[in-house]
Amino acid sequence: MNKFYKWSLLPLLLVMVCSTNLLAQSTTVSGSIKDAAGEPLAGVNIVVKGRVIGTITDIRGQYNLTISQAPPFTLSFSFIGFKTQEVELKDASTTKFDISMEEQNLLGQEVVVAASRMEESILKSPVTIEKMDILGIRAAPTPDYYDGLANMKGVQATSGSLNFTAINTRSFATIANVRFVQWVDGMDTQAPLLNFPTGNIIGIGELDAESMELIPGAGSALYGPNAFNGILIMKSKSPFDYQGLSAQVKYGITKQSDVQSNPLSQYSIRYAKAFNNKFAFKLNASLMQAKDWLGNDYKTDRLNPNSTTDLSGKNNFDGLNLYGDETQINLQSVLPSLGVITRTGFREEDLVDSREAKSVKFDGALHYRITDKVEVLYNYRFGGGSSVYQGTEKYALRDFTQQFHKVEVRGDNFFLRAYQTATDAGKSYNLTALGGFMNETISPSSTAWVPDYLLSMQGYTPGVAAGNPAAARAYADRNRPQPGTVGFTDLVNSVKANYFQKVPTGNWTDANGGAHPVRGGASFIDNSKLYHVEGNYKFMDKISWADIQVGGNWRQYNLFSNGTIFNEAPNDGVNFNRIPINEFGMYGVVAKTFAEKLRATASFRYDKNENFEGQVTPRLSFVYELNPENNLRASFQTGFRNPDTQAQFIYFPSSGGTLVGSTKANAERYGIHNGGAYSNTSYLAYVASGGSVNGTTGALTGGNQALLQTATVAYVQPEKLVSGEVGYKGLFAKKVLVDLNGFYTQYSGFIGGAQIRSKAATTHQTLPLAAGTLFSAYSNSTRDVTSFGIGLGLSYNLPRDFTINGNYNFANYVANEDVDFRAGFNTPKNRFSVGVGNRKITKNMAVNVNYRYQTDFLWQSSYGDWMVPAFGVIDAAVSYRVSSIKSVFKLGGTNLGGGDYRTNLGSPLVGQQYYISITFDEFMN
Amino acid sequence: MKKLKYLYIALITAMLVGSCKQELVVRQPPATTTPPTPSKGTLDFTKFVSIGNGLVAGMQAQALFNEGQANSMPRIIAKQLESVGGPTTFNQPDIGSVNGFNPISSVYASPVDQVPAFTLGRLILFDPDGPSGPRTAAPYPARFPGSTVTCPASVTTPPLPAPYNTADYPADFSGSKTTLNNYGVPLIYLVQTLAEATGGPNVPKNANPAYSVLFSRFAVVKSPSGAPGSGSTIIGDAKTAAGTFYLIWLGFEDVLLYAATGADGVTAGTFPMTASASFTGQYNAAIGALLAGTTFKGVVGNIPDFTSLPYFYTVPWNTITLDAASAASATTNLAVNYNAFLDGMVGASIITAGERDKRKLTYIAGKNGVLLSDDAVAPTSPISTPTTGLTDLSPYMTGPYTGLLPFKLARQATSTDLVPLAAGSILGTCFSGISTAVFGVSYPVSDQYILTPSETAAILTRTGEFNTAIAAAVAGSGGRLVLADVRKGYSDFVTAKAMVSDGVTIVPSFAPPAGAWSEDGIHPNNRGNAFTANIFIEAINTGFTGTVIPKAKLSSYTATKLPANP
Repeated sequence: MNKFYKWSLLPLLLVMVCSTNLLAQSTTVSGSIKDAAGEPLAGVNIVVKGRVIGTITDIRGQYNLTISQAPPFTLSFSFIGFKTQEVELKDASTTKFDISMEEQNLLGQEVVVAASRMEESILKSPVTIEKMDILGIRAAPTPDYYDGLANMKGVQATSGSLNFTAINTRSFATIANVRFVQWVDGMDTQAPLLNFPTGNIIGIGELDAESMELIPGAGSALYGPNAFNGILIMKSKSPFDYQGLSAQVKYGITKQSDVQSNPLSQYSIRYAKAFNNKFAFKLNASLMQAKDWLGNDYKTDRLNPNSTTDLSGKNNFDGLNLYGDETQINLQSVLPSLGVITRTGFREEDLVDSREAKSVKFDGALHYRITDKVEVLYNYRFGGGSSVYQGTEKYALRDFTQQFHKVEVRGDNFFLRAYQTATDAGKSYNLTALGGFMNETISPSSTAWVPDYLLSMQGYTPGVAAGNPAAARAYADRNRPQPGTVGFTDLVNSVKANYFQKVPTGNWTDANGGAHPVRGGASFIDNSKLYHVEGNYKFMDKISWADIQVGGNWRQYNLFSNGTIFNEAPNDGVNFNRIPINEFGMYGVVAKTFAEKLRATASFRYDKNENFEGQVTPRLSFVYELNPENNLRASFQTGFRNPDTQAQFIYFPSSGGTLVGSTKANAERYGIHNGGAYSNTSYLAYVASGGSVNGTTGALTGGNQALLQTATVAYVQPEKLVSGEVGYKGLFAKKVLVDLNGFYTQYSGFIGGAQIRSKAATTHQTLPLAAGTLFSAYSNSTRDVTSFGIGLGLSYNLPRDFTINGNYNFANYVANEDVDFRAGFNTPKNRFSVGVGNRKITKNMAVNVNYRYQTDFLWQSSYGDWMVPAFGVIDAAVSYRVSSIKSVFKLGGTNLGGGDYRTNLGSPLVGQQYYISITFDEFMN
Repeated sequence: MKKLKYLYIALITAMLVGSCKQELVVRQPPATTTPPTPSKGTLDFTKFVSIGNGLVAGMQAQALFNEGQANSMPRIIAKQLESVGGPTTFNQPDIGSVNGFNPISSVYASPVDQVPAFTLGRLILFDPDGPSGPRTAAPYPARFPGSTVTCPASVTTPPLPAPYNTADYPADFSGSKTTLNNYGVPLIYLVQTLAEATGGPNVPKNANPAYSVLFSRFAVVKSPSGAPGSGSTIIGDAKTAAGTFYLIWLGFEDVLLYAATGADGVTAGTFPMTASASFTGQYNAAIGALLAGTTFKGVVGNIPDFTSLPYFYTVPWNTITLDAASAASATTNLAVNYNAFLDGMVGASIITAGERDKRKLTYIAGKNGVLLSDDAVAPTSPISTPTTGLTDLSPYMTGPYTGLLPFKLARQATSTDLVPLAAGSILGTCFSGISTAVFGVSYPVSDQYILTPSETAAILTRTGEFNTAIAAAVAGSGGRLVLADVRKGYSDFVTAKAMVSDGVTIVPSFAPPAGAWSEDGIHPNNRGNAFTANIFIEAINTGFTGTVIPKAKLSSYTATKLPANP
């Protein structure tokens, strides 16, 4: 720890030492800035091109800036909603510039950074990129601007919880989207244990958000291992550029059909102040509280979700939002009439306590401009809250937190940053484990519940009719407490008080005073960390024949779940050790423009993770300028994704077999890889033929041994892709912006799970594991998957300040799928979005209406497979500005008029949200 | 401006059209099947009369007692007939006893006695280790609580059901003997249904070999002399009852009692098998008597293969479980000597090498075949390997070999031998209290405890002949009788190993919670009676066009009780 900090601060000190003697000459410029109507504009950015130095206008539109350099230099005046102006300062004689800013309603003027890790016009980006700028953030009709991403071209949003929308691009959607990277101010926000970002819970509050740039498709060549299907880069407001006090209060209600409406509230505050254009700080805090959507589908059978029959009375019903009914208990061999049965599930609403959806954000930053060219900053960020997320099983995240510390030195042509992420699972727990162990605590399946059920079915329980599954179940469940009673709460708490995979303690007392030892725990521990150091240097002025930049990073995942999720201590099961995983990467980008028409960019990246082979990911891209407003682009690139930390080191018993992280360091102790196991399918066929495997010796007895097939599962390796993309972006008559792109991607070595049965007995943390134990080992599929698609975006500036935006996406795939391999494409073939907005429908009023629609598609996940029906969603908002109190009132609603919809199997139905907000901004014009 | 208006209209239209709500599947309740409407068709069920043996009388667990009688197979059918015109009453000669009378386990002063010196009741299952013991989910039948095994504890044999020691010797039926519906009498040969002697008297004691106390107690006219024409017969009384529909299921005991007593038929306490010719004559006589001068319709059951009854397959052929030490001891003390003797017999050309190999003894740790005495086959010249039985070697067991005399016909059981449930009471016990002479291990059990493959084949052949006679009698009834193929119903059930009906499972065993047989392994329990009743109902529904009698619900009837703690 200490070592790490010392090491990371060293270059910072060096920079500071080197820069002190540069303070020599200085020039001071000043002036005032007004809009076309002559009203002074406050908060306008004035920066010196090529430097970090700059200032903003005060409340009267005045500015004053001292530059430690003699002319000539160029001043750039920019302000949201206005056209950027540049003024060249030739000599020191003229230092007063009064500027009149022109309102901008022009398309294609945006500047993006993410596509090439350097600023460029969005029209000339070599790959497809989408941007939501500060105006878009303000105009978003959704209560959380982040959810507005759903209307963006190429984006598929999956709602797992009210405050957790998973963003997916380029298909293969999941809620636990490990193939997508989300950066906040240069920091990867993934939780090292979960390996995916929890939406905007760990993000930026609305008051501090400046922009979001989204690159659909592989970004490995620039962003490393996990930028596989896309990357979202969120940027907050610099305290130099956006100063003053702003605050927001938002109230609303959430409404689901047949469910009581619930309040929603959000309070945010931001304060930023710069001193002498040298030092600046900002503080942000926000709190969102609501009740989560109610997942109350108690009629869908998780294993037959497309059934048109109500299966809830079935003996082996596994209800979608019921927990504790996951294990299919096969009694076929004991009594054929019983067949396969499941325990009685508990309702999600009874297990997720108050259905709290909460998000707490706090962050602060200190910026110091050492020289005009070098800025150093420290940033602390805290995010956390309560939500629900769905992976292989469903988890209630409760008071989980993620904290970041970042130090960064940056100039116009370089940055060096180091950060640390630390997560804490808080009181989070696994709903499936909770339901399951509640059932086991009430009545252990094998010794009490099943015999009770079985004897009741056969007519041995006085007063219980034979052959009546409902009556037999009621009898076997006789000690089960009713939700809402003290006994029920006690039961939930006694299981939650214990940790998953730990020896449970405590007793639960039933209504008749019977004591039941607690049989297992549902809570989990996460104290994982991530350390990351990254640097980038651009040879801007040094090399003239091409634009060249180089960069590199080092990262360490430092995992710790105390044995509740990861397999930390293989030997004694007591003294758990942290698991470090080190990786590093370096890259170079060369861009050159030929004949002022064709710009070619080549990037090359090398990454190495200690557990895997090094990966080389090149990218080659071209932009051809037909004319300044019409550009063609083409790119070819490669990408890869290292198996995530769970795929490497998990050990997690679940109803579908024990999940085993399949990196060699973790998996070799079980001997199930590389031929040490039978395929589960062949094992079941063998058992069905009357065979058995001796749990201790692994010896085979009886049955048709020819049925058994060895499953040769290799240690898990990175999955890879090769992708080609062509696109066109053009502006017509300065009114219509067209963006058309098509892509073709070939994936290989998809990481999935292989269900296998161990050939020999082994041990896990001293506990014996019999031969024939079912494992679900992470493995690479040998099947290739190809996906392709088209995206079309249109923006049209209409008279009287109306804008209309639309986009359409087509996506499809080709894969050789069967029971052993499902691609999990999980994306509708067709989807579109249309939005109409007007920033000035009257002098003070703005409106924004958006509609999106997607066709039906097959959702495949370890949670279950389901045809997600088509749906359309309308979101709308209207805002009204009251300049006298420097505030904007906004009234909005989501999913207006539409019915409730579900984006995937297992998630609750998403209903409507209606809200009103007041945003105060000290510098509002 | 105009352009803008069109755009608005287009947009709003698009939204209204496109704004489709997500259509989630509306799930329909599961489909239910409606049972067919009951119909009596051309039949008249106003008086239903049944004739047969213990399976008709309601015997269970080797005794006729209240509960068994209340759930007798014809009683169950009568309940089902209520929806097709049958009355709610079905009169049976109520036994009025909770535990009944167990004619098989009861203690008799002499093997030929018909009246026991000490009366025992129905069998029940005991839980040997009590409620706190390591009881399994599918409990085992338990050993007779009074019998303590003093011989080697290392010999493990299956526990057995045991009889209650509180019992009631059958008393005369005090109700109306002329309005009965059920003429089932347990343990009755076919010939006894035609004989007045069956109804008594039995004076002096045991003077009347045909006497059945269980018929005598409700015979309308107890024959004073036993002479023909002097009193009631089972067939006669049943005919007099003037039923409109009859269930006739006769003749099972004519093979079953022989099989149940180990296909011996000679030794006291064992029973013979009726000759086919006699059976055919008696059967035709019985059916002919019933049909003569009447117009009733009826259903006739044939005879199940005895191998369908759990009594014959509950105890496996290799039920002798030995530990390593016991196996070694039996090898040294017995197998080595006996096998050497057999080698000598081959050397002396008394037996063939083939016969020797059948007879040689091996003991292993684990499961061993039961040591048994096979049937005697006289030595032949030239010698050959007998196809059935073994050469009686007693003539050569002289001098130093005198000690081998008990093994003159000894061999170990193979998978084709059947061990009747009754053998369980002797296996593992000691001959004359000698701890080295353990029945089935180191001392052969006699032939009456084993059914060899040839004996099994002979009984099944005879059963087939009987069934031919039954089928012929039905065929000759002019359509008045239909055949219920109980033989097929039972053997299909055994082959399938389990059957599911109305949410309950039945299996062909007497082990709760799924066994369909009562504790004796021969008579079905209440649920098994419902299963059997359905075989008859199915036959009626199939045989008489238009008749639809609803099947009995197996879930409405209980199965064998869980083992009780002694």
